[in-house]
Amino acid sequence: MKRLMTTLSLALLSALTPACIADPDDGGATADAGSGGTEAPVNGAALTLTFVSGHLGNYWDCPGEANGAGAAAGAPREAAGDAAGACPPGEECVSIINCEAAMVMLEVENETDGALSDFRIERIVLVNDDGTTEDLEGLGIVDAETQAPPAALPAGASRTLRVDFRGPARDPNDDGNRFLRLELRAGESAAGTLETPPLFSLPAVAT
Amino acid sequence: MARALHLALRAALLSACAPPTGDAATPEEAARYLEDRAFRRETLEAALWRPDLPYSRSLLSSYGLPDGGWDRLPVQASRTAPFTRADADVLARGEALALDDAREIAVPSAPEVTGDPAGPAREPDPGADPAEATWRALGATVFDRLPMRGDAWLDWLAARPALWNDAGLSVDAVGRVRGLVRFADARGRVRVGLTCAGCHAGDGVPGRGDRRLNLGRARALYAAARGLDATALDAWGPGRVDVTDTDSDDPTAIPDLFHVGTAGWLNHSGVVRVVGRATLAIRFETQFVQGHLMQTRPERRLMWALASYVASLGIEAPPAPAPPPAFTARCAGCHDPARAYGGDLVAAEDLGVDAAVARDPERGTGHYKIPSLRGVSDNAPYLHDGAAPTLDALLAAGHPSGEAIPPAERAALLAFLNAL
Ligand code: HEC
Ligand code: HEC
Repeated sequence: MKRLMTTLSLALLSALTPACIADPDDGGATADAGSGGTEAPVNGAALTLTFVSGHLGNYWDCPGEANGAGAAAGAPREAAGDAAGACPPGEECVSIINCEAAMVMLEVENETDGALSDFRIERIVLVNDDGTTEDLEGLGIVDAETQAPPAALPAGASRTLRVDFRGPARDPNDDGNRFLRLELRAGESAAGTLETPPLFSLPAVAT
Repeated sequence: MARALHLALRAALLSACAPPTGDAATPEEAARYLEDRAFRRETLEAALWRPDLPYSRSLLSSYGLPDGGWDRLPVQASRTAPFTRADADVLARGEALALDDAREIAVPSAPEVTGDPAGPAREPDPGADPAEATWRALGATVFDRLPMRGDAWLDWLAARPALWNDAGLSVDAVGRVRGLVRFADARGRVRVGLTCAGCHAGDGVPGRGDRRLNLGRARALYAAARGLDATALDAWGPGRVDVTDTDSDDPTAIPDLFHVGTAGWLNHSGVVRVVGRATLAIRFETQFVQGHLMQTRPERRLMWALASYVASLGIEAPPAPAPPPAFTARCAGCHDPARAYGGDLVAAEDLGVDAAVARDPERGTGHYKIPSLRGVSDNAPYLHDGAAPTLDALLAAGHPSGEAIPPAERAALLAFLNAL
């Protein structure tokens, strides 16, 4: 599997942090996240992300909930609108037969010197077989154990989080080797990237 | 001529695979499955002999990784309680299910179940192995009580006893619904789950594929209640499940699990090659992970126990009668008497059966597995898709290749199959 602890340069996206983040394991090299930014590394301002599990959801019975299918924020829900994909984390929703929001579970380790809170999704990019990419809409982050928004994570500690997002509309007969590049932020400037192994739609009947 | 081709194919496959060993596992194998990630990974890779199929890729991408992956998932709690008629009333009143009466599946102390290799020497018969007996007993509990998955349609159906008969659910004398339990899902919600026994304990016989259970109907009823078209689901018919999400509609019969311990391959298309009991344990473990939305994993000792139990199903059967000459001449080349009258894989086009499941893009290998014929007379309808209603119909159609079988031989074969 690919496990990345790449540093991110997200500075210009934040009014508070005009710096980019160094990766202790990466000799201070930076990977540009596409948002521009300076190259001055800030020591220890990194989140280490490790892949645990993930799937691209199952939108068989709620194609409108998949990414780019008129399900953008604010768009009216479909008839099957209480589907998981449209269900904000923490809210009680009933899903229909084959309708489950995509998710990635990951272990996040706080490599900074202080506690971190306010975990948020910076970007979720789906990388297709042919190298083309698609930006996916994040739906939220919860602590995998408590199902609640993650509490503050002390320096050096790690925790498993679940990131929910709108998966791609699926061609059920063409399940390629697509994977995600996922960028998370926490606190003022801590950030981390994860490149997942290939992810697939969630099977409706797993035997 | 056709038969010669079959046998040649079979020989080619046989030479490519190790003998199945799911029926006789050593304590060392248990310990390696439980403790050695690299061993689990190797076993998975050996089992998924078609790594190109999506079914295989989705497991290979996340299981047994050197760092991260499903090993890091939180362990699924094993606290469950039977789902009863009374629970249906709770749901019908719009109330939440409770778990107060739920019990943990207790795992006996470690040396007992890992079969401590330093312990006293044991009889070669696995049935006489105390660790083996402990594993199997634990596995029987797992089979009955650990939910493989929960589904929205299942919660809905559970609240509507008037539809249970239509869906083929069975209720026992004290009101328990076979194969359904209450459990807390990965998000902490108490809901209804389907256990192995829900599909693989027809007529209450553990291991028998449930021929009455109509999950397609159950899902169709739920879909219809929500204004969705579900004609395709309703077409599955009882005892059959479409296990893939591809556009092709190819439901398969829920198989019997008898003599799986001697099977060299799993699933109708043989997508999993059995290289030891750990293959079974890993198949079940990954099935649970997917069934629980990849948010929890089962406790591994429960999976070894389940594998031990499933591998033992059917082994107590009395010895088979001697086959008639017609069987030896026409059938034994594939249905091997030394392997509970089962065998390896046969290319779908060499059989007079529908090829859709063998060609399914998700898990089709181009082949069908030769199933065990022990106890076959109890298992109608026959074939991977239940297309043959009776043994007589199967032979009348000239199974396997379509070549006609002379009436006298057919009668002898039928008598033998009915006694098997
Ligand atoms: C929803 C019904 C259902 C449930 C629940 C279920 N199975 Fe199955 N099982 C099936 C179907 C259908 C197949 C055939 C799949 C195929 O051929 O691709 C199958 C195949 C199998 C096989 C392969 C059998 C063979 O001879 O090839 C084994 C072993 C098995 N199941 C064991 C289990 C165990 C153990 C559990 C509980 C963890 C379980 N199943 C839960 C429906 C189910
Ligand atoms: C070329 C190998 C081959 C030969 C020879 C062969 N079979 Fe089969 N048999 C199979 C395969 C493969 C299946 C499973 C096909 C499927 O699932 O659609 C099967 C299925 C069956 C079944 C259905 C079992 C069930 O549980 O559904 C019966 C009964 C059966 N065979 C009996 C016989 C008899 C009797 C003969 C001799 C006349 C025979 N077979 C010869 C390969 C063979």
